[in-house]
Amino acid sequence: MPDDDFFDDLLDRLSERTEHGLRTATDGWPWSEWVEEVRRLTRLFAPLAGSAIGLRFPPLPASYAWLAALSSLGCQVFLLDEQLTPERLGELCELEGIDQVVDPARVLDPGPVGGSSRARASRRSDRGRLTIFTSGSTGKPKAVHHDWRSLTRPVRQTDWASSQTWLLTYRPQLYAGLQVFAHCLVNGCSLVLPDSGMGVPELYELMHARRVTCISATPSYWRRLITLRGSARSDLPDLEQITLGGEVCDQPLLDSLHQLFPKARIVHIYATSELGRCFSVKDGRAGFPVRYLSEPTEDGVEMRVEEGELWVRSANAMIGMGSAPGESSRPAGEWIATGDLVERVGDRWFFVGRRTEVINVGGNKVHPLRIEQVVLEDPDVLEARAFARSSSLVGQMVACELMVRPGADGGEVCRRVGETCRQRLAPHERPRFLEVVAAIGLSDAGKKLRRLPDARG
Amino acid sequence: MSMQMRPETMERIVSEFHTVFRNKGITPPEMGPETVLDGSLGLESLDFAELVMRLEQVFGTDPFAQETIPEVRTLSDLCVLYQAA
Repeated sequence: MPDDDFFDDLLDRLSERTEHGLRTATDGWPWSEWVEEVRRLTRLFAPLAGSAIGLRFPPLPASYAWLAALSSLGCQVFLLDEQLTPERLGELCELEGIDQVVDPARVLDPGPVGGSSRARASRRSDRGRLTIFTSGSTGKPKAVHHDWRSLTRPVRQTDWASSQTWLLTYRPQLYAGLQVFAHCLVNGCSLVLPDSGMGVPELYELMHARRVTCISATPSYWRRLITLRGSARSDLPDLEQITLGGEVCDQPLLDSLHQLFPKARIVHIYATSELGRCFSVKDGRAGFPVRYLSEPTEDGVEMRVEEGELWVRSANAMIGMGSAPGESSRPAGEWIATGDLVERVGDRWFFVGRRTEVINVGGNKVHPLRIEQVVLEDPDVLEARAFARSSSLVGQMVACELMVRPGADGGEVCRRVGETCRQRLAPHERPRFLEVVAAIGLSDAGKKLRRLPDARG
Repeated sequence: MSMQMRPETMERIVSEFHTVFRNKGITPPEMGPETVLDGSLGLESLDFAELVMRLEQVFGTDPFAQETIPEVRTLSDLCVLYQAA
């Protein structure tokens, strides 16, 4: 099996690496020890070969060892959020035909949880497949299938990457988290795994203690790291690489990061669970160059724009999606609508938001991102979230939550922001409701939550 | 028998009108029961939609979220509408 060779070669290379590996706040596994554990688990889990296994995925070095071992055995591995409720777990097992659920944080050799016999026939062709559950635009998780080839294809192996230490900010079972792991796996560099729910001050302590040099996170997560770090510059780690992904990256944030981390190489990436990595931008500017549409990107991805929406044809795309029996395999070379809206300004394309997040105010379309960009220009606004509130008369109106700088007068900030919005935005774009909040909610994927129910439900 | 407008209802509604005016950057005009709620007041349809959303938070109801949209000409009409809802 191709994946057997993939892992054998990788494990052989990593078995020599003793200075780098997987680290938590309290523990550290050099790659050499991690490889020993993978081999041990592969022998232990031999009876599970070829099975459909649900793998709960706490942010632990052991989780990755279990994943590698199960993949080596040709298992179809479903990556599960460690916080899944028992009810939801049961639903997934039934829907996906999962034979057993295992948890690296608990029992080493758990008994079977159950599953459906319905999917057995399809499992023979799914050996070595990894299934990720994304949130999707409707909020209901959807199954996206990859294998180790599609996951590692975007990874660049370089000499200078081998000495990096990355901080994992994404949930480990999601595509972005797996990409960071894949980078560290292929390059033999270090990955630091914070405990779930670790606060920002503790994250900074961890970064310093583990000498983190590289961080990949969503723009919302970066804003949180910057705004809650405290005022002392010495709090800031000495970063050599900053990567942003998962959300639109605006110029003010890029400029802030450049100012705070002058030595860091700053890259923002466009990638989705379904399409994989599509392109990266390294020139310090928001958006992407128009030439990305006229020639394949470095990642071998072609793109086009149709009615303001970005379409992509990608070699890094998932190998299939959906849950059996409605599952679909990925036709080679298929163009996929991303749901991301773009507009061209000069030599640049800029993202204006998701098609599904557009607010419809009496027939006029409003992109929340545009509102947030205006609101964020106020020096006392740390973060903002624009969203729709239902209106019986015009369908929807724009509302906005603000996080303000500690010590700032929230009422005065709202007054000032209101005035700015009156000057800069059209009446239908103007947020009619401004509220100061203690925090802006982020999803499990570290992205701003825009689709929350309002008072009308 | 037509419902009488209660002063406290008018006071709460006028207060929300004032918020909408201030949000527009306009000094709120004097308003009374016979104030006609049309464009001469300085408000547009979106402003009125905002007002209705604010009144829903105050009164816990939205009389405009019905199949038949009520007719409202004056401030007094609006007050009676919310009293009856």
